[in-house]
Amino acid sequence: MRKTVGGLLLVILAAVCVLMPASAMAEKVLYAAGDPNELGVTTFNPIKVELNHEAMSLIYDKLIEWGLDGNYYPGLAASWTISDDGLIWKMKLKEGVTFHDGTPFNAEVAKWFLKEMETGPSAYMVGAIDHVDIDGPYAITMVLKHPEPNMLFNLSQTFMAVPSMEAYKKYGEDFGTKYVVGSGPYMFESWSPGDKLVLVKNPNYTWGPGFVKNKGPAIIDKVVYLDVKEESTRFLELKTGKLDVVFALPTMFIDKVEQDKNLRVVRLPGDQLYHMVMNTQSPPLDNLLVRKGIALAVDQVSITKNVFANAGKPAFTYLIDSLPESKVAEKDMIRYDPEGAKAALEEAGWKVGPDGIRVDKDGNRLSLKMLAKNESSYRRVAEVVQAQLAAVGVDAQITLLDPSTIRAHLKNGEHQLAVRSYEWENADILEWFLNSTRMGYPNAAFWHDNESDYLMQKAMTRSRSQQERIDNFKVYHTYLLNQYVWAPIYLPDTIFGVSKRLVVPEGGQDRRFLGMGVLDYDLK
Amino acid sequence: MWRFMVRRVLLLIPIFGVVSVIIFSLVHIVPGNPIDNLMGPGMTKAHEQQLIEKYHLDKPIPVQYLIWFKNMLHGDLGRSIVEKRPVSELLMHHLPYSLSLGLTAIAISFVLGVSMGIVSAANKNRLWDHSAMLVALFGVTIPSFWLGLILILIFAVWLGWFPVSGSGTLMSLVLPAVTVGLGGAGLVARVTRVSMLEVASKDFIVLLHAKGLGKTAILLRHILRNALIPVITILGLRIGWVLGGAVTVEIVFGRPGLGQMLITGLYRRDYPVVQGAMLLLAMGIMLGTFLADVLYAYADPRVRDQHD
Repeated sequence: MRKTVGGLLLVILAAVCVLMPASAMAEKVLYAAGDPNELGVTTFNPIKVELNHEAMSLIYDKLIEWGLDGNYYPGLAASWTISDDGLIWKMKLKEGVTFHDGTPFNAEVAKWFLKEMETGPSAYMVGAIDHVDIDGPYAITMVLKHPEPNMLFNLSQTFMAVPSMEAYKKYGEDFGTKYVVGSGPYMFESWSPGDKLVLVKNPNYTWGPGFVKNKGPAIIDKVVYLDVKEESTRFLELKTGKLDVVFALPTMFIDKVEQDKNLRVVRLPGDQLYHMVMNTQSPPLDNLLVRKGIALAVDQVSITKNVFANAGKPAFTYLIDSLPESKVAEKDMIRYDPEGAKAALEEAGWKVGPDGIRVDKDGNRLSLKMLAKNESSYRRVAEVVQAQLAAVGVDAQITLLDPSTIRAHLKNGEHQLAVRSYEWENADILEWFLNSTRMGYPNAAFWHDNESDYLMQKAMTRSRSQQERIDNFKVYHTYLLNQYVWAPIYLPDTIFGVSKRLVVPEGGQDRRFLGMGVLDYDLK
Repeated sequence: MWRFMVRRVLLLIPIFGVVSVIIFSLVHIVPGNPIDNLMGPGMTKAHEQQLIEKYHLDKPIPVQYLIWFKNMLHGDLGRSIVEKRPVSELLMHHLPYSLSLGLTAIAISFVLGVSMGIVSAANKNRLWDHSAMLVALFGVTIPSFWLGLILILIFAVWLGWFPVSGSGTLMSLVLPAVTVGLGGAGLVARVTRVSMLEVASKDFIVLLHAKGLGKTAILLRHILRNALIPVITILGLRIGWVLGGAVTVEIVFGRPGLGQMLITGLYRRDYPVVQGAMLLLAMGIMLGTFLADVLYAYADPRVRDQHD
């Protein structure tokens, strides 16, 4: 009797195991955390969003994907051809794609999306498109007003992720906060601001982009993004196993993560550049020689080593080094040269005074106001730069402020030097920061120069091919470097603290680490 | 008593008006604006202008205040400029985290602080007194973010008894509540001690001793009851403070409370969020003060009689 009962129980247990959904048996949940301000916030409406969240790249698909190798891969667009004059773009769209609400993705949705983009803050990304023609249920033609070699880049950005047309129209202002409907490998489950965002696997997903091996569905069942503001807490959560991925791991924790047998550090090429802006309209920085003297006095190698523990590279140009437009001639790069710095300042008429600080012929001291963000990395860079400037006879007075107050000061021109950084992966960032129509902020250098504006316009709007755009931007970039509007400082790597529980295949092409590459990841 | 309470409630109305003006002015005096923070590469001046008009930032400050105040009276605190959600929805989302932390911390402050105060007062200038006051001093002076990190290291990382951070479970409430509660306990202990010693020197206590009443009975029934009046005031005032003032603890323990919401809003100059959060905190302080007044009047008839 006991054997019979035991046998029956075994059969029931086996049946339960077979019938139970795999997810309930061992649900694989990946926990990730970063600074909420850096992860991005606002809304998950790609058309209306100003500050993007990392998770956008899992909830939504883009027409085109951009790989770590710099190549463009099929996304929702299966293939594309560009006419010789660069004005006609024909796209074949993937068939069988559905949004999380069950509605299909097709040419009609693609056309609506490209038109709707004109209503949001990223309208400039489709600014070159004159109109879109539907060639068939899964084929469109984009007719451009002028050649736009940057279009591939634009179409691959999360700011151009494609939402469900039906859901977008249906939910109005609540789309992106209460209702989030894309076609990506993960679906929006819940969002508790300041706490966590939960994404659940899209079981119907089979149209992964070109660079992933697993086209879907994803292996990991859920991805949870936790908002943990304090960096020490994030590190401790990673160490105690509650987190699998920490975004932007601070340099002070890199050694500790590397020493932990359960953790590892993942480094990806950075998209950030630290630099020091010089207000070119504030004397004596209106003098090219003074700017040159200051730029050459900044020892980028020393800052990279001593402030950032070599968790990145020294910067010698104004662009991140993965961009071809950053590859300017060696003579045009801005490298530490204390003797060159002193010579330039001498030539500008600033002689070393009795206390080591330079003075002009009227006895005015070379003393400059420097602004920096009140965060540790900016403060430390500012302090080291201050010491390096003092070594060539320049006195810099540092004021630390919160980001919003700094912007207000920059707008009013109440600065001479400012330690800043930007995160951007395209050479057009030079136009954003140095266009004479945006004086103060973002053009904190107050840079107004006709030749510069001409070269900028040429690079931005008169390039017919990708190569021509690169060449034009190189000329513009070289010109700016020789005007010493900024002093380049540092290129941080993008560093993640990762639990070894997360299995990541070698040779992945995901630029974001937790972007579409997650399709190939597994959890032990 | 009722007349006293009605008068106090009526007094809250002009205070609320003044507070709303101060909050609105302070938020707009600070340099910077939310739109600059939202502008990224490629975005046009037209989009910037569109945002400015949408949030009435092109209008004079007094007009902006009147629009905000009028909408507020209709229960509409506006939408977050950055997060695009209604501010009231955000407040309701963050409030429970602050309330649970604040009330638990106050309970810890009260129990621990009063106990230490009694021990201290009963053993004036002896080892127990000095030890309790040293602990109280420790509680008052130690920075809460540091204490929080130390508690995490000991009880979450080394011993593994509690989670490092989070907010969904009762266990996740313990360490942050102890961190905030210890600070308050130090204050309560010191006030309880001083107040008890003051009451103990009163004539009626001497009389009770002369009548031969037990030492413990005098201490707990007569001295403590009278000495608790200032403690109630402190705890009442602390309600508002704990709701918004526990921001560093919220950040260290990753709790999405009102303090964290307020700081993030300030950082981004998200005016509707900052105004909404500050208004709620101000109301918390006003309510706490009101409750303290009522309890004070209830406990001390002289206060009640004075107002009646």
